[in-house]
Amino acid sequence: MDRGLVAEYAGIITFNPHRLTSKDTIDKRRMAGHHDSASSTTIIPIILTSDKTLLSHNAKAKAWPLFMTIGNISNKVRFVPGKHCAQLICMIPVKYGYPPILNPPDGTGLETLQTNPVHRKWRREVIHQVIRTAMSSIESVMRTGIKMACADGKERLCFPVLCQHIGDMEEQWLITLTISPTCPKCHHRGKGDEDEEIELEWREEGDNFGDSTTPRTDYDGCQCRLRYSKDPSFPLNRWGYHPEAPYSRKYPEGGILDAVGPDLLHQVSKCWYDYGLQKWFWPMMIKWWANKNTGKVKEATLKLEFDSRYALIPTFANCRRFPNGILDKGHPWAVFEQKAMMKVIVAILDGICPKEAITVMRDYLHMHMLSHYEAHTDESLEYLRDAIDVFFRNLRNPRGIFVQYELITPDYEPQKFHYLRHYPESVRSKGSLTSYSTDRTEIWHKPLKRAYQRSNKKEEEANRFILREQASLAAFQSMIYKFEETSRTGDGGKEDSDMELVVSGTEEGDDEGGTEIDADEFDDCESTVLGSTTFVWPKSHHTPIQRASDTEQRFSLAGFLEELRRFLRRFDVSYSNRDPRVWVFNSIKISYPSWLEDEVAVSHDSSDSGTSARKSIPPEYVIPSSDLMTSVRINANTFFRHDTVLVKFEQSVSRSSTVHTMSRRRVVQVLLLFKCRHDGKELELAYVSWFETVRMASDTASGMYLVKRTTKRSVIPVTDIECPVHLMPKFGSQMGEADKAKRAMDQAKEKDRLWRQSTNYKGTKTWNQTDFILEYYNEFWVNVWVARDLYKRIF
Amino acid sequence: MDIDEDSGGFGESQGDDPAFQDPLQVQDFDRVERYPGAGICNTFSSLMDIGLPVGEVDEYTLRAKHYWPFDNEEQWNLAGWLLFPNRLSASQITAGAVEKNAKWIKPGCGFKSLNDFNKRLELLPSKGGEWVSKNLTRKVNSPAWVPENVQFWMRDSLETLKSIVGDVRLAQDMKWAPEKIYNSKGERIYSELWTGDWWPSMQVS
Repeated sequence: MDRGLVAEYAGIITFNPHRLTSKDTIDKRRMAGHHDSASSTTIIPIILTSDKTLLSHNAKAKAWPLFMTIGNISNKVRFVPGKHCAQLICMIPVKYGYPPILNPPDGTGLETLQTNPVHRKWRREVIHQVIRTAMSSIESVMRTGIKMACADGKERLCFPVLCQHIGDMEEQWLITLTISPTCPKCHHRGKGDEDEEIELEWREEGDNFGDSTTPRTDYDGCQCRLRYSKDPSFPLNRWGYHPEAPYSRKYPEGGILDAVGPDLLHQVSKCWYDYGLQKWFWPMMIKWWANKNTGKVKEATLKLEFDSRYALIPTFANCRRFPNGILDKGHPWAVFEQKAMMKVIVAILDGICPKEAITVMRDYLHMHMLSHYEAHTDESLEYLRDAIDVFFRNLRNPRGIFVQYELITPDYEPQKFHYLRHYPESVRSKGSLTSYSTDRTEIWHKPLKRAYQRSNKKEEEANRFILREQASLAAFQSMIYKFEETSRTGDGGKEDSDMELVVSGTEEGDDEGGTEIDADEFDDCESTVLGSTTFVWPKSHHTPIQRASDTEQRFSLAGFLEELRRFLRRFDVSYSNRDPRVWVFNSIKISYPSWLEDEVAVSHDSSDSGTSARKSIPPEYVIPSSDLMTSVRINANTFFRHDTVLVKFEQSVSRSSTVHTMSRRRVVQVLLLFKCRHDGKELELAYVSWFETVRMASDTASGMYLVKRTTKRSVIPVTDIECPVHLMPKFGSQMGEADKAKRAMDQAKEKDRLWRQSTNYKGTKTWNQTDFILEYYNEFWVNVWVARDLYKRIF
Repeated sequence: MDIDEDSGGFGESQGDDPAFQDPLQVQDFDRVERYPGAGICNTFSSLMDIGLPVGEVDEYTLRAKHYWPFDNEEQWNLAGWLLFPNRLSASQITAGAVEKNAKWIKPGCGFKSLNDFNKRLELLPSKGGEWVSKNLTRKVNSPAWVPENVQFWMRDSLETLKSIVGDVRLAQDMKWAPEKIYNSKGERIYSELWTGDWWPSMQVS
């Protein structure tokens, strides 16, 4: 084996010493006259994904598909299921060989194959051989390049280069042929889940193998294997490498160690619940309360408080509710549910958890938020790096609470967390991390699973069936797209006329209702300027046109008439005590951009880009697209849901206070959405209840703004609204309060149900828990963790 | 069925061949099977580029060719309905799409049998390479537990790569050169793969 290995490497080492260090190999070849012009050469960054997946719900049938896609495709499109950007190229065998028990010849008894080092080595070899065979035809053109017809109609000399191999941690160790739990990106020694060291003593005191500052490269791996694989006095595995050569052994550029990267799903997302909550925070809180000098609290009481708090979080878009709390052991939470828990955890912990621990949690959330950015700048990468540093420092602080309670050791750094340190560099080299996460690639497994369900489920036949199905479906789908394309170009004008029809239809509908509503606002929303906030009002209003005084009575909104008059007086000083007519709406739809200025690329700066690429890009191709416009409904309606929103607040900031992100913003609760005619113009207004900002984010451990309801209510134009905002109650530090509140809430709900039953009420909802919570508590945290755009805006 | 006579394929024969102006014959299975590149073409649209004599064939013929291996638009739509979003079960297809069971289907627009449907599906020009089964055989002096051979399925990755690279549907979402992009403040943005440092380090251009 060793001999073969040396032979295999020999060619590379001697004849191509620049293997990975050379930056201009492709360029040189171009100079050598392989082709005519510079613009017709490109590399094709190949992205591979292999992930073992279950085909059926029981764990019987497994598949190990290897998908291939290319980095030329935009991240937005690559994961759209119907586009077939990723193609299945190989099914790696999962099951082979005899039942996993054998009799070792030395008669030491039974030994399972799983733990037999020879067997494991053989398995690794098989898998690498399979991938290598599957990639062999690409490998054959990696050095010379190949002329390919590209999608834009040009023919280019393409050099395929392995760019990324997406996989979870286990997979990465396997495909990089490094010994778990070492880090595939650097010489960090690494630790396993249970803080265990590597499976064998691979490092002695005083050995200098490099540490997290020395990166692991393919060149390094190759050199180590050559030098140490035959040296018994200095085993190769001390370097963290297995002796075999990886499948990328002969690739001229882009080896496998370079190609593995962070996997957000299994690292920063999943670890929050598995580690953050289960291993650190919950045991810490139990100990903290049990060790308190005054007012010791049992675990059950703490749990009740914790779970009740979860039940008391107001509803918000994309924010799952947990009416029964989250500490139910029997319930395996899915990742999206864990992410929903993460959004509100800081408010839950506030008061029942020591301050220093809250900062640790806050930094974790920072890391999570920042690592999921779709577009990074140097600034945000610096934040990310900083958040990671601070997080580790606070968590492992020798005098910090986690170390004191012996939940972790001061040098605690399992591989999953160690990987975080490679996040910024990975973004710099290959772009945003979300597109390399295994949860994004999961979507490609779906057709395989469906096909398996319809097969006869016998291993080999099922496999064949899946592949055939997969091929025919892909073929059929490409046909569909073909037709859609032609029909789209064919009758593009027809769509427009359809739109007009719709608009005129709404106009008629309004006329029927007896009011004259201009269709102007509908026109506005048709021709939305990308990146501007728009409001869409429903076609029909909820109440007939009424005097404001009647409206005030009907919705029992004291002071409404007076405030409306005051508002109108701003337009018209002579506006006397008339009683204006208003009509009320249940809800409006707001769509606002979820990106910020710094994410928008300016095209004229791309001076050193390729020649042809320059013109074809629209100025805002990086982040802004209509997909990223967030559309949310703002409710202020008779089924008692009144949303809180962020409004622009133009009044001058007091001199003493420093300027912060909330200086020009206020939180309000929308009580009524209505329109009113004045001076022949139609005014779109909202009657709101104001909150004042009590504490600044920089003053609080949780890093959130604290707001408090005031008695001030006023009428504002709807265009002042910036975006919806999520408020979380400040629960305080009194144990048992949340439970009381929850019971009060349940009672109110029950009362409402009984009332509806007794009066035989058939209408819509008459009670909403969000409103109840907003009434019940005084002070609220402005939740910045709930959505990425809010985080960027406020934090 | 002496199909060898006009075996030139329509790539060369263009519109001179009277057969190509006859819609009925184009629908015929045996003839259409000889479409040049049908088995290997990347996407269906490249069929157009190969040389369909657009100006000389009337609209109906063109459409019918598009729907190959299905006979006509109705049949194609029916197939799409059976396949998406989830493929119906065999018994459902037999009951709902086979002409003799489903009387409401226009003659010629359904399928003769379940097998007919499956066969047509298999005739579809596949994307990427064909699936082949490969074996890894054991070395001579391996331990006893090593199986004789390990079988796995793969397809030609280069063909597949070609089909992705040449996928016209993705043309507007693809980039062929790396780029450095900046926001209005002049900060570098890292978002897509081509905005990072990896690509320029591989390709200096």
